[in-house]
Amino acid sequence: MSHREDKQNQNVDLDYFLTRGDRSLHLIKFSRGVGAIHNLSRNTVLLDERQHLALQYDEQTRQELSDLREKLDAQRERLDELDDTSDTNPPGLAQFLARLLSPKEHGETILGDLQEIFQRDCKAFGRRRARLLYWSGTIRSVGPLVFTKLRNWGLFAAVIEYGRRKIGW
Amino acid sequence: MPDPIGQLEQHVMLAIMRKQPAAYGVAIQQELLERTGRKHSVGAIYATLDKLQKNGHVVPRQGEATAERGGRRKMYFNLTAKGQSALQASLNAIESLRRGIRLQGAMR
Repeated sequence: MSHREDKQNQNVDLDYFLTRGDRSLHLIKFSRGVGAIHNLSRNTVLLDERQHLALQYDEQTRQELSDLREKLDAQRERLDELDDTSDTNPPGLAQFLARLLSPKEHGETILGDLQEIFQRDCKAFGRRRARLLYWSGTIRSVGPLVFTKLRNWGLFAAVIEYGRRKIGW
Repeated sequence: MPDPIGQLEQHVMLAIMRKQPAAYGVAIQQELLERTGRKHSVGAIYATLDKLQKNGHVVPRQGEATAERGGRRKMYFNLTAKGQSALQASLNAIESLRRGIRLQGAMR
């Protein structure tokens, strides 16, 4: 029992058909209406070997690729560690802003707390994201700290407090 | 009659009591996040602490400096007797208002 598997070429002069028997592969060539059958069993074996080699190669390549990826990941982690330890300081401008707006008696404490959170974020998320979070924390602190500054100025206190109570903030 | 205190002040005072004797800015922030689900900025917490301190509700105490804080000292906070009294009055007022009210979903 055989079936047509592939049509290799077709033109005016030649038609090729590949047929697969139970144990062999045949090429049926038609030339001007005359057919000739070529047994490709040997070639089939050869193809199988090539496919086998190709599969082996793929497997080997996959393994090598996997090993390289593992090495690369290890190096990346090492680089991140080095990156983290090479500069553990929060963004200078953000520190300046926080210090500028903080109440006088709590300025250093606030910077210390922000730095402690920064160090914790560095370990959890890496330095780049920790810097972004530091900026985010500082910007979110601007409103309350400015409000505290104004309140502490005394003259503004009554007006600000009145306004705050009016808007329910 | 003690000074009225706001909701954030109330929360901060309760967090201070929970974190005794190590209630400082980061610990208070973490406690509020865990208990209320709200992440307040460090600035908001210190603005509240500043107001509570000026009203005599809390008293600061210098703590130790650590390397991860860049050598800066922690500032621990304790509630004063006046602060505890104000907090108690505030909680009593809420409890008094809440008593007898059944909220939808409260029995789930």
